[in-house]
This record gives sequence, C-alpha cells and structure tokens, in this order.
Amino acid sequence: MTDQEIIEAIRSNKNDKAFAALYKNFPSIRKMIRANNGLKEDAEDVFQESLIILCSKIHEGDFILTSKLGTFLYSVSRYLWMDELKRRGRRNEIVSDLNAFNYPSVDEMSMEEEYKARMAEKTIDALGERCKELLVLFYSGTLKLRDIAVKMGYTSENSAKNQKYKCLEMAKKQLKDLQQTQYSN
Amino acid sequence: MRNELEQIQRIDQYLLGEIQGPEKVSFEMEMHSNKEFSDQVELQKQLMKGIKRTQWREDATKAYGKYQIKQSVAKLGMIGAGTITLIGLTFLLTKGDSTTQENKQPGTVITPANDSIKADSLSIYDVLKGNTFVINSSRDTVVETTDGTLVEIPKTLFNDSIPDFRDSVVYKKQTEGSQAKIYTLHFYTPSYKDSLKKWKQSIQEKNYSKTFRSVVSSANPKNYFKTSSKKHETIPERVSSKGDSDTIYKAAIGLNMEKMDDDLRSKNSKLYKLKGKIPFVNKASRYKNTILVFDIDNRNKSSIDTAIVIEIVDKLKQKSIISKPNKK
Repeated sequence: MTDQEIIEAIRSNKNDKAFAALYKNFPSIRKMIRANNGLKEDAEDVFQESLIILCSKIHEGDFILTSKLGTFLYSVSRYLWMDELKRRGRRNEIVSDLNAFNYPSVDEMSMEEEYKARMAEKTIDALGERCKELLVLFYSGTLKLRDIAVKMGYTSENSAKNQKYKCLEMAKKQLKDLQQTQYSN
Repeated sequence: MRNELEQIQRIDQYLLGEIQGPEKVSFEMEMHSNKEFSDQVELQKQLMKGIKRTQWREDATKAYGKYQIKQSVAKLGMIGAGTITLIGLTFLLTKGDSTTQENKQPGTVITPANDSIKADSLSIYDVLKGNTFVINSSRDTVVETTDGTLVEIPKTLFNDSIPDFRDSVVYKKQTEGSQAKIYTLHFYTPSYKDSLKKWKQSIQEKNYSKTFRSVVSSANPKNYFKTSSKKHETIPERVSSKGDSDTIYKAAIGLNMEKMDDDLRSKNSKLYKLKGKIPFVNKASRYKNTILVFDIDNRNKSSIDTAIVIEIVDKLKQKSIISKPNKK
C-alpha cells in the first residue's frame, strides 16, 4: 500500500489494512525506544499511540503529508517517548538519537490536546459495556441508527437514541469529574 | 425528554453538522455568550474524540496481534512447527497418562511463580476434577465444559510473542515426583461481543449453517494470517468433518446469549476466550512435559470446577476444532 492509500483507508475506516501496513514501521521505533531506556512494552504502547494520533489527524482533516508516513510515525513516537521519559523524571537518561534530529512538525504537537483526548478515551472505556458499544457503533458511522437498534436489541430507533443521550450524559459527568480531579492535582 | 438530555441532543446535532442556518447561528451565539454552555459543547466534543479513539485502539490492538503472529511464524519456521509436533507426540506416548494420573493426588498446592503475586492456595485435585481437554496447540480451538461453558483457545495463546497478556497472572509449580509442570493461568474475560452478536442473530434467525460458518471462521487460523510458506499447509484451512460441524453447531446453540449481552465480565458468562500468551513458554521445546491448567476467571474462585486441563499434544492435529471434555 502506498502512503496515500493508507491515508484513504484510514479516512474510510478501513483501519485493519492500513494498520497492517503501518506496523512494518514498528521495528525501527522499537529499536529507538529500547535504545532509550524503554522496554518492548513501552514501544508497543508508544507506537499504538502514534497510530491513534495519525488517525485523529487524518479524521480531523488537518493532516498534510509532508514526509513519508513511516517518518511521521517515527517522529511522533519519538516525541511521545521523550514526553514519557520527562514525565517519569528520566529525561536526562536519553542516550541516543532522540535529541539528534529535529522534527518541527511534531515538536509543535500539542501534548495538552493529547492528554485531554486520552482522558476522554479513559472515560469512555470506563463506561459500561453496553454504553460503550452503543457510542462506538453510533460514532464510527458504519451502521445506521436503525441497524444499531436492531443489533443491540432496542425496541425502536428512538429508544436507542435516548439511550445514547443517557450514556453521553453519564460520560460527560464522569469526564468533568476526572478533569477536575486532574487539574486540582 | 429531560432538559439535560435535550441539551445533549442539541449539542450532539451541532457537532455532527446536523444543525444549519439560523439555528446554527443562534447555537454559536449562545456558545459565545454563555461560558457554561460552551464548556458543555467542549466536553461533548472531547467525548466524541474519546469514542473514536476507543475504536482505533481496538483496531490497533488487533493489528498488533496479527503482526506478532506473522513475526512468530517467521521466527519459528519449519523447525519450530516440526518440534512441537514431535515433542507433542513424544509426550503423549511417554508421559501423558502417567503424569495426569499422578497429579490427581489431592493436596498438591500450586504456589505463585512470582512472590509478588498473591494467590489463593489451590488443590491440584480440585483443578483436575474439572474438565480435561486434549487439544492441538497449533490450532484455534473451542472447547465445551461439562457445564456448558464454551472456551475459545486461540492457537496464539501458545505463541511466544503475543501481546496483551498483562491481564493474566500465571502460577506454576513443579509437582513433586512428577516430571510434569503444572501451570495455572488466571485471566480476565475479554470482550467477545462481535462474534456473539453475529452468532446470536444467526441462531435467532435459525440460520444454522451461517452460525456454523461464523463459529468456524472465528476459530479458523486462516483468519488470523495468511502465509505463503508451504510448511503451514499442514494446518487445515477449514473443517469438513460432519462430526465437527455438529459439535460446533450444538455448542453455539447452547450458549446463554442473554447473559452474554448483559455483561461478559460477569461470572455468569458462559463463553470465554482465552487471550494473551503464556509468557513463560517462549520456546517450542518448553512444551515438553507440560500440562496447562486454565482457571476460567480468577475473580470467581468457586468456578474451579470449570477449570480445564489442557495437555499440549498434536494428536488431534487434523480434526480438533472442538474437543469435548473427557468422560470420567
């Protein structure tokens, strides 16, 4: 798959093919992270996060491909890992190539936005299975409301819709609480 | 509808681009003049991002699983596959029965492999009085316990590099007087919803052949990866045996679908999917003299009767999509 095909696949929610192609970039990123006091598991987490950031950028429509996707993922992963080391108070332990390159496009990345998004994801993840499934089905846009209602066993579209709003209400409350706890710390 | 829900609905419609014209203008004016309202919009916007990320993360996790399988296959290669078969057969011929019998002695306690893991003492007798399955470790398998619990055991469980095993806790103990090592893998019940929904629908529609295909396809190694390597042609790509199809069919029909819908993590769930890897088995040769004991949910100690003992042998290589519990 070419980079452009991968981007198109992600845009049309065909992530399986796109991600399979993108995982070819994982070994170099794992190597970079392991060379910088990271474990294999850290590399897995960081790379996964970089894929999610890529998706997010593509879906928000502000993604302009100025380099190869592999380079983009490497840059984002490097940035995320530096941030993580900083967070762990181990910034001075960076030993290889993390400081050696300059990736302006990524350095401008807003970590605050990223943290906010992670918090929202955490909130969704903590909802009950049914709410989570309903919301994911609804916003992934792959099914019509009618089909979602049938799939999830609701008596009508309206009742699925109402349930969706109730789930959102619960999620909003939880996210607000989480944000308040976070910012008061 | 309550006021709060109405506001959520309105914000949702705005974020989805469903509000246009004067209504949109008025919405945006309200956002500018009312801080509390604009905070609500922002919260909902964040949640929409969170929902999408949840989906992407699931996709990424699946992709990583497939990637890892490909890597394992590349690493193991022909020698690995051959070794498992050979060792499995050797084990079956020399140790299988005798070790199982020895382990039925009551009172043997399985202790944690890692001291930092707190474990309840567990009698191996209690474990073995459950169900015993002989399965083929190179194939995805669905087993059914005597109480009707279905467990899917993906072959990836036996690979050396499968992600996401962090939810699992492993205990091991080499039983005295036996060469067999006993391992207990406690794991959490993962979500298995998509397959279940499909099965449920098929069953409701009495579309049994579809159900059957769905079950087989979820247990078919072909779905996990495709390799061009000839050595894997020994893995059957589909099940054609009538006996197998009947068993799978029956197993799927026997599911308690209502319970599944409510909460898959509930201890009442009747279908489980083994997930992750057995971290200490990272070389094919370590399968030798090994019995794996699975406790279905470590938060439900009383379910010990549903524990499954799995001997790693290749005896059923060509046919075992489903293995029924051995009759005692």
